[in-house]
Amino acid sequence: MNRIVRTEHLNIPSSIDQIEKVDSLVETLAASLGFGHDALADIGICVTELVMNAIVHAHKEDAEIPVDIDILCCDDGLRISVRDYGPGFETNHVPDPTSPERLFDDHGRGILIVKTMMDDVKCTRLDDGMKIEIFKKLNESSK
Amino acid sequence: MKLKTREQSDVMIVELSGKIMGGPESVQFHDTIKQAIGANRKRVVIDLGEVEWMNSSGIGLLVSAYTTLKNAGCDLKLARTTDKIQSLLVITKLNSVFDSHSSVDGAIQSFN
Repeated sequence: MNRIVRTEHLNIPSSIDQIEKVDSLVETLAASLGFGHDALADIGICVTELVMNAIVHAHKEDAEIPVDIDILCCDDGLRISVRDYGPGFETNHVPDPTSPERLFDDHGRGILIVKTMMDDVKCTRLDDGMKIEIFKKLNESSK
Repeated sequence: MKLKTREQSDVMIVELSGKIMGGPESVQFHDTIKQAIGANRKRVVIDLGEVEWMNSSGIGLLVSAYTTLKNAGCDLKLARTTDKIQSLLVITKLNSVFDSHSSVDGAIQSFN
């Protein structure tokens, strides 16, 4: 990891109306690092994806359970971790949402999209939840 | 996300704009699709030209609209699908499901 320029931490209740607040902060920080329009969209898509998963799937929208979000602005890119306190899941066992029997499901595509759009994704199952870390590289194609 | 509806050539046009990230406004979208069916609108176009981006919740809304309308004997087309949304449809292999058009007029004409 290169030099950290700025860090931010958010501790939000598991309520869907928090999503826009997270997106707004992350977009501001990513834009200040120099990410361009297309990369900003990728980052927004992925961070809202992970926070929504934590709120809806891990915590069942129980506002008493917090979601912790750490944002590290580095000179080589943006690192974000989303930590929940739900039952967790095995990322290698997530059903393939592109399979014919799941193609018309209205959910289940989040991890696939995040893995495709980010430069690095690390999923860690903890004793009391999940931590998913994503990294978007800052380079000529993402500026 | 913002949502507006209008009619053109007996087709319901659902205009979406902003970021679609699965917030509370998703209910409004589902209600709009149900209203289209209730009003016996057999042809619906979702205009995505003003959508900044959508995450998988937005993709889920499109899939839900497709299946709900199809089960009711209605037809759905997408119009002005942005490059970002098109790339999401390719990633999720839904590009083979949705009939996308570069303009609303083109989507309307494709019903005939």
